[in-house]
Amino acid sequence: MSGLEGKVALVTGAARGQGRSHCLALAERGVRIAALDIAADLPYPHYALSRPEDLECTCELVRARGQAALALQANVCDAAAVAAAVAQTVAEFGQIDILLNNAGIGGVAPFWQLSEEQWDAVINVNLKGPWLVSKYVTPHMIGRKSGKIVNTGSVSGLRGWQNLAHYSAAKHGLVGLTRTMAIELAPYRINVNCVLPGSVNSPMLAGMAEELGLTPSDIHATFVPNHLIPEIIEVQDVTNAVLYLVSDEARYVTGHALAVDAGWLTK
Amino acid sequence: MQDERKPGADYSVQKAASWSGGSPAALRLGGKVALITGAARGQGRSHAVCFAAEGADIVIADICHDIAGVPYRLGTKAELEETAQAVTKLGRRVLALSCDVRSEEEVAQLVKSALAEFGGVDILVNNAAIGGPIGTTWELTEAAWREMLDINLMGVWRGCKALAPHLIERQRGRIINISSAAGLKGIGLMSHYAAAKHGVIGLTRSLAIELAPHHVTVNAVCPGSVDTPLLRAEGELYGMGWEQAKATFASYHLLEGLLEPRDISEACLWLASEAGRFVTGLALPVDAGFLQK
Repeated sequence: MSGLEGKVALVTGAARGQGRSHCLALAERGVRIAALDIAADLPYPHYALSRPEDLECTCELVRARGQAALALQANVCDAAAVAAAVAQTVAEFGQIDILLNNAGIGGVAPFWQLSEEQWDAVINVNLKGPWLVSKYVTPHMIGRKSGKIVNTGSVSGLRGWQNLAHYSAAKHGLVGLTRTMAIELAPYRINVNCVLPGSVNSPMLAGMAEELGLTPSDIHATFVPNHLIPEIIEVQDVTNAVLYLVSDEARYVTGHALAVDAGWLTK
Repeated sequence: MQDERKPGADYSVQKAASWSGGSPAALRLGGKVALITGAARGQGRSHAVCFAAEGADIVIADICHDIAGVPYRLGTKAELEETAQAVTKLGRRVLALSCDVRSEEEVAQLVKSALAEFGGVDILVNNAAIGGPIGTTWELTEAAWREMLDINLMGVWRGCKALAPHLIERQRGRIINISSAAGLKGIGLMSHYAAAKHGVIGLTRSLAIELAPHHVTVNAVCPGSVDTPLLRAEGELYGMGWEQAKATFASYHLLEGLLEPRDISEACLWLASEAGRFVTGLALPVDAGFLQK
């Protein structure tokens, strides 16, 4: 992968899981990192979200790879906090070349048992969040006529799945947002794509498994049969797809929904 | 049925209420002529009877002999004749002809005969298809692949090609190509079938673009597992008795059970009727949720 040296990436949901993996892989390729995370629990989901020390750990690991890191504690649904975080990133690094809208939450229940608060929470973080962060970041990209945005969708962005009505609705919406942003930003040479992971070995999957009452050993038995390739996907596999999409190699790839799903959508 | 798309057509609410679709009692294909391939039995026969019941005169065709490379019995002359009698019983005119969709000449002759008999064709349903032999991609022979594409994809194209000039001349018409849920997803042991049925959707979308300026709609219908001679033969090819095959094919669906041919006919009827006049380029699943599972 070429062309990443000296760039600046803003990554949401960066404290752990896929977001942390993206940060470290980019840092290894010479990218300075603005690592944004809520680093606090929300009323929903039921599982624990990241802690400030998780976010700091991501930043330390970036620095250990010889790149500058900026920790930004913010909720992606809070416009004022997002605006401040973007301003702080530009003040610190002078530019933003790459935006990874990775922050997301999940929860499990039949749609008729979801409360309005639970519905709103997932739509807010998983759909409004990426729009809001993009809204504040893209003006900095438009002026420079360059940029790469990758939204983290899900297999649930192209197909339904039981107990994930709010999640699936948000992720379908994110595919629509991605395609529209790609159209609007193409004149400015900004590429907008999304990745659609299957079941990834991450704190979010563990949290959702916990909510389903699954033990760690059940996770494999429950989620693997959905895949054609009978394994759980690792965070690094999603990172590899993101690295391609933000690289020069993918300069003509935009508006695409790239599945990294072990064949789930094909099954 | 009036052509509502003529310039100056009245699109008012009052006028809309008088459309055939607006009144359940009115026949939805009155005065139309439909040409249906693969009509000796199964889905094709169902389409013929359904369209006739809605007032259309019918041209039906089937190969009426077996093919060396296809390991099950195909539609016969006697079965095609049974379909014809069912149409006649409904008080509609019918023309039954044998036609091998692998032959451009035979398909062209079929269209010519239909036009000679009825003076025009309004609706074409490219339904003729085979379901076997089956095998892994690396086991299927080149001959099996060619046969599958020749019938299930090129056969559809030949039908479209033969009738298109007539529809363009009349500036109206409906083409319905029968694809499959396997036109939108892969299926093990049937890569040639899935490739052909995916191809039908590509053909449909391209033809929809080409014929839209001529007020001709082109759509594909994507059935799930339908209880037909083809599916029953399929079960035997998989080495299953019918009870086991039925359970296996039904397990692909979200909704319980197998589809009946008439379920597909209803979708075709919608696309062929006035109600579908602005629907084109669609790949319409009628699949009991197969594609969502």
